[in-house]
Amino acid sequence: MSFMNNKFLAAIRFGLIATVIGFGGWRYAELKPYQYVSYETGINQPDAAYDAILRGTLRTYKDSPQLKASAHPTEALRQAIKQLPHKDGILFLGSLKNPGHLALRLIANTLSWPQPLYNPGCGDAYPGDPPPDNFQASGAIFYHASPPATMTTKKTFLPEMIVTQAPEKTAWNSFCPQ
Amino acid sequence: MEFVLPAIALLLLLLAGGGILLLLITRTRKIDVLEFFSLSFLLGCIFISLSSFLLGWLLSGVALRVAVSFFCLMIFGLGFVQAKRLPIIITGIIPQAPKDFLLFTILLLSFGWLTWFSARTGLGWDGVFHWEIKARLAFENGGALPLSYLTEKTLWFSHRGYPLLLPLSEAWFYGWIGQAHQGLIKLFFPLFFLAALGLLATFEGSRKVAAPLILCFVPLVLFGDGSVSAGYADFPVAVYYLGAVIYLLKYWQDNGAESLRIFAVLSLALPWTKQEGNVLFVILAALLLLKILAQKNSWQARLRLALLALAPGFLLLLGWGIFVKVFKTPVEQYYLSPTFATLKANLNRTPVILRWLKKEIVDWNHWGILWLTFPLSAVLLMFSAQRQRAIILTFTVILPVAAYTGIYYFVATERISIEEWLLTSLSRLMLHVAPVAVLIIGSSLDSKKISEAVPDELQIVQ
Repeated sequence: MSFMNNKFLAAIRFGLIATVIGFGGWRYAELKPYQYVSYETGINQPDAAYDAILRGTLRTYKDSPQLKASAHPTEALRQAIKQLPHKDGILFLGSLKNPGHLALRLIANTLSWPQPLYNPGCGDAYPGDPPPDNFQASGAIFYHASPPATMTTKKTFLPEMIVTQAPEKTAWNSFCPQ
Repeated sequence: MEFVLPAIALLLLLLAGGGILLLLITRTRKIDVLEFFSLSFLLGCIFISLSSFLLGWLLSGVALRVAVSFFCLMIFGLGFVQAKRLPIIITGIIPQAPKDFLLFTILLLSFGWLTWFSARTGLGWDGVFHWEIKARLAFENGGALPLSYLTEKTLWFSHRGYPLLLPLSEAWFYGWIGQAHQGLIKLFFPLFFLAALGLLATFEGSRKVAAPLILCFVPLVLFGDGSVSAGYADFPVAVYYLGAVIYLLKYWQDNGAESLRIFAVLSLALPWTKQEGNVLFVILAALLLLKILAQKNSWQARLRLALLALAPGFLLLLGWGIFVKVFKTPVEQYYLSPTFATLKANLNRTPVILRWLKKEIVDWNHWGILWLTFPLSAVLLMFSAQRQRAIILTFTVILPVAAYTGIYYFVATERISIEEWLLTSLSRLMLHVAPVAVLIIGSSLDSKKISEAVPDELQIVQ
């Protein structure tokens, strides 16, 4: 192993480190991480991650007067859910095929805790999380779907997302929108 | 106040971790401030999460926070007394040599950039819906995860049976901040990166620049699913694995009880951080058992050593499994039964798995040329002074990758195809061993040539 002298090893070492760092640095720069930096997302925002998802998903955000007024869409959704009475749980209605359905449902599910949020999976092949038998809904969130005419107490969170209170007197058995 | 309260939470966490470290050291020695900080942070997260979990059965809210804080201060006090008695001296606080200045500059710049980047980007999907959600619910429940969550049907997506090191550490900060704060919590994750840099810089006793510098240029460490800024558990588990590997190596070289104790505590965090940590823990346990079995002690002494090092991790691994079973937490059916028949039936997945593994290894956007350099560095290290070290280190990278790829023979593909499984998880699994691969490259860059070598056996005697 006479060729493994100090200078030879030093050259290999230097070459290795320069190549690894240079190549990694180049690829990292090519990924342009700075384009994902958002000045709307900051360490001073308690709902930074949820707000970013809501803003990104709800494409009408920029046109919505309700959300434009609120710098924190998560807080607006939280308040809308909070106003629902406490019963067996809340329903999230709409097709899984709608953009951002899953992310919005998961956020709503977290914000509604300890009230469970069921998703009957209207019109989807995937069954979703249907509510149990004899379920008394406290309200429903319609995403890209319209509530039945019997549901009059509603708060339009966005044109695409409507938070409604379940009817007090009228029985409501068919959860999925017509 | 926005930064003061989380700073207090971090200080208490560091004090607890530092106290544990000082108690684990039982001889007069010097310890580099970078190593001290790194280990204090890692041990502090273990202490905070475990104590919140255990005390959470009895206390909640302010009472829980006060109790955990009291134990943090008490452990630091005990550690401080031990450090004074022995004494243990923390060195290198003020940089003196040019190399120190260079290293501190690298640490400052990379940590500063990553902290800024983290603060200005949101948590990733798993970061929000698997990990932060648990922290949020724990915070809302007074600091301990509500038991009803474990069986809550509609929250199935959050993997209710996942272990709790990360969520309960986050919940600790939420408790001090006073609300679940997805903005401020992003400052927590770069500390794992700093801990990894500290471990890489000091693993050989003296300070090294190469390894931490290389880690700063692995794209997936900085950016993407599983990266530091995404808030996933993958990078934290990678840092604990790095720490455990370093102390396994130290034990391999010095046979010291101190190295074994630190290894025991760091390795117990593996199953407590992420499910795949079980695989990493079992691999390290097997390597350690090989070392212990090769010793010439009595079998009682060897059994004692094995128990000292592995009992905490195995207890935690089994304890968490029993806990999840007792509370009937539904485990998502992602895996088929691990039988030989399943393996035989799925052998046809081999070409797909190998193709994706090859694709991942040369994915420049994830790794640069880390995985291409790794075998070359391992060979270089074999030619250096520490052949035994090279072999162990190489195994600590190759065995987990082999085990992880083996798991794909047992994943269910009814709803998710094997390609989707590989696409969404392989890079994150490889991230678990990436810091150790960086360690190998760093070692090979700094090691001495054969003629200058001290044989391994002599090093052990010394």
